[in-house]
Amino acid sequence: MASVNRRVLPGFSLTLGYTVFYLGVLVLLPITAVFIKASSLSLHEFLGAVWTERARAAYLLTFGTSFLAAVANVVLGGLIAWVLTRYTFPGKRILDSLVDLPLALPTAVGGLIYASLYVENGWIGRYLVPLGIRGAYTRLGIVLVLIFVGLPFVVRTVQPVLEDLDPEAEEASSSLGATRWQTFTHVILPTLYPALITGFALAFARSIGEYGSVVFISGNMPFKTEIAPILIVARLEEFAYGEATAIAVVLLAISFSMLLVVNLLESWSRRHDR
Amino acid sequence: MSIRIQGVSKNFGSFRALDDVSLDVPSGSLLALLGPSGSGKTTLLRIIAGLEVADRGTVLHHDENITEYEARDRKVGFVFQHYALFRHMTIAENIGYGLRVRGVPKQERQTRVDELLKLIRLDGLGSRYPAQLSGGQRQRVALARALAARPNVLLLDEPFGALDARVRTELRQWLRKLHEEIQVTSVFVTHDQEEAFEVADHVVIMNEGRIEQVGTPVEVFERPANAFVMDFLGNVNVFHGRVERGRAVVSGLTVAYPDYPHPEARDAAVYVRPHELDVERNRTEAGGLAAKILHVNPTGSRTKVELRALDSNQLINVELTPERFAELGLKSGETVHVSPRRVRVFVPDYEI
Repeated sequence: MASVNRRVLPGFSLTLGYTVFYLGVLVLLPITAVFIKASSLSLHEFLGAVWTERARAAYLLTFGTSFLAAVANVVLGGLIAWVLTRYTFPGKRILDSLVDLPLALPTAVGGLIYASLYVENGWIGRYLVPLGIRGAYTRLGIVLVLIFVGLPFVVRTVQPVLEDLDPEAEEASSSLGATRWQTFTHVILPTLYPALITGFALAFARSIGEYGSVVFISGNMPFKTEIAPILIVARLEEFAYGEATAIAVVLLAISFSMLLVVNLLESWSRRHDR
Repeated sequence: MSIRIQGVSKNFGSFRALDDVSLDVPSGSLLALLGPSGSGKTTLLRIIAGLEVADRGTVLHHDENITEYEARDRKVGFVFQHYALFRHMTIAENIGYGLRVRGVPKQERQTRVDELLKLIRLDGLGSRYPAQLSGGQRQRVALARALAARPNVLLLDEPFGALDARVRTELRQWLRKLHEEIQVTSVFVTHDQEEAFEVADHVVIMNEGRIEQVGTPVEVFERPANAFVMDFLGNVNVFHGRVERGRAVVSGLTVAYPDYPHPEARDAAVYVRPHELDVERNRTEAGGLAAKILHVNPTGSRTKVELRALDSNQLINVELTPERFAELGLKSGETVHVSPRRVRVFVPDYEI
């Protein structure tokens, strides 16, 4: 016997149709175009474009800096989310809205500001450069701006989970004899894992695709501070469209597989929710 | 281990949650804190547990002053209304948590967890997660978790409040049995008088941050200390009249009240439980209130009759045995006479 399943709201086929259509037009179509363009190259040409020493250095830099920035964001963003949910203090709402600023600000502006702050005679650079810490036109600078653009993602994914945290679970933990640190590591942190991993994935993905801010702070020196998106633009400026899309394909493939791993990790961290 | 609470007060902002409360909980007893919401019963329980800090007063465990101790140093097992299980831990990990944070070796922990799983009749389910259990099972796990480290005191905050009626009854009887087995001093909070009477051997009735009465269930039910306790413990008919010369008079009704022998009359409230009222077709010598039957509900173990007094228009609830009801053959619309077998009179304190 067929089971009858009436939903409160109708329109499943309509909404699914729209979803598939928009995802197709907005996401799948452009990506397919990239793959088609890249496939105009022969295998030899393809490898020649994507596996040069300069390209490999760019991949490594892109994923390395993005990874470091995402890790830093998990720590910093987690901390900010904690402060914003756990405590009340004057100016809290202003601080809370500041978190979203990197989303609204053109990232190029962010990059320019960071660069001007960290150069030798900048407000921060004048103290750091004598200590040997160079924030502008270095890999450190790339990590700094990537932390800036990725910050809201971790804060905004962790915050609602922290707000929903059951205060009784913490009380139960302490009445069972746990120290505050034990309560944090055994009870609070594990419930935050899924949100932290999601925040990490979002910040990481955002960083891999970031262009505007990095182009102003990195100096874009091949082999040293040239990230993959900048390499793509460099190829485009040489009118080597096929080679540019080939690099994009590699970038896409690595990003996709990394996000897949992160998603698996995230669903594993939720295993107790059935 | 006994608990002694001395002069404890607690304010939340301008709200006075507890007002100079003192209470002794004898070792090995099972005590219920009973009261309406906002009466301070949960606050008192949380102060005993160390989850809340009293503004004034002391808490002693077996003559040891623990007022300044943190919750984790009090050796108290606490059971929450909504279980508060750790969702990311298995049942076994939940139960073993108190032992783990105290550094008990794994082998020993395992033995104790298995023992408790058996006690709560969930052996074999240790590797499940809380989300995979029913409400009643979860609350049993919460209880086992609280008991794992062998606490001196077990505290339960409305432990059956979130469960449905059948599971609740089952768990009550189970808790009663469990307490007989392990004999740990236990205090539980409830707003349900039936639950308090069924489970506890001592009942503390609280109202507006104060203790109104302490006693065994029989004591507080049969000899309520004041009008609040009488009113709170189940249905009651309140008649307003006066007392003078050892009598209480309510319109057509006179009952003896030797506690007030003075000649000057004072206002008084006369409390009668529905099952302590009788209905007669004719007026008896003792007198009675003439009343008209509004509604008869013969379902249940007692027949409930709702009447309206003819002179005062007051609603009166009477519960009769089915036999008595059949004997009288009452119908709605009839006029009958209601007389009490037993009354309690509360004279309000002098007010100027």
